[in-house]
Amino acid sequence: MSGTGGTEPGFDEELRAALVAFADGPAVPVVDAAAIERTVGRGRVRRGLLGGASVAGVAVLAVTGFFALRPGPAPLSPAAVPAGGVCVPAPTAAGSPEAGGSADPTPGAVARPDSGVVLPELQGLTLDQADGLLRGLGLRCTVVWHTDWRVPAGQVMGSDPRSDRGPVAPDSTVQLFVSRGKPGGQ
Amino acid sequence: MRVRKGDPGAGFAEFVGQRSGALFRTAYALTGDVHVAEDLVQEALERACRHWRKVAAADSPEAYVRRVLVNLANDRWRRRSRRGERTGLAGVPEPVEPRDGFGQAELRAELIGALMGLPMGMRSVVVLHYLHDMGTEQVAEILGISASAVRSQLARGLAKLRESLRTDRAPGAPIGGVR
Repeated sequence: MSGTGGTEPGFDEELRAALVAFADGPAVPVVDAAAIERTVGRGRVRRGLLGGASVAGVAVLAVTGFFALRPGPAPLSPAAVPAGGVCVPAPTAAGSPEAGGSADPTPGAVARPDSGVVLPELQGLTLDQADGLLRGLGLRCTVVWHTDWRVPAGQVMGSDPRSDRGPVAPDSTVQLFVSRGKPGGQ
Repeated sequence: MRVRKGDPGAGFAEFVGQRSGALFRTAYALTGDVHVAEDLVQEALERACRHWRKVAAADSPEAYVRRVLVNLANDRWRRRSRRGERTGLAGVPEPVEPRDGFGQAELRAELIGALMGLPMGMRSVVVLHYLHDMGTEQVAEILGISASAVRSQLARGLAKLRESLRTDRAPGAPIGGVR
């Protein structure tokens, strides 16, 4: 590609000579290849660590998002607990509310006709409503989630002690059995 | 330059030792600034080192690194152009060739000054062709453009250089005939 169409004599040669003289002017710096390799190596380690952390973060977000985006309340998820509420998730019962309701969650919730708190009917309320009601009565509650095709997600199916069992001790804990709806969040 | 294949870490230090000087000349001719040229060479070599296994397996690792270098220079030039900064010469040594007459040294300084006024794409074509004696195809491969685009850029670049020299010099003064 020499002879690039310069219309004036010697232009190409002059330009070439000017460029070579210019480029040869400064002293060529010494480049430390080992330092570059060390820098790149550190970057790889850093990227690897960041990458690992990112993967872990994405996994956590994915798991959290999966449960948070389910139509029904998420089992054992803090997001399902009403803000400022006292309902704390309890281990999921293996059986139905009725089957799991045989145990007394709080010995203090034994009926005391004289000074106890009468439990209202909780069945059919939403978890938020039941929680608010119980807190208003000075009671605490825990939640046991159950999959039930017939009951909408988030609706209370029963409680322990049941509401027809008489008054419970003030400040005692009531176990709420709440539906998580159809399997798969339908 | 060919480097040994098979060993992922091998050859980089050898490549740097042998070719960093030529890469620096390219960078300096493109930017006209010693410190910027050093930075560009360093960054281009770091990028090459990150993918050295792939770079070393290429037909010409130097062409790959030179392309990275030109791209980096282009990116820098674009950023500066957007900010309205002009490319200037920094740290350019005075001509030291004792046989050069004053007129020749002056002409060369004007040529380099005019070169630095060209857009980076045009400047890259001129530098690769005239400084490294690369043909159209070779320049096209390094810059990732077609050979016809290289010819076009080169012709326009040379025309601009001539034009800028004409405006700087007395009408009718010869260019290249001052020896």
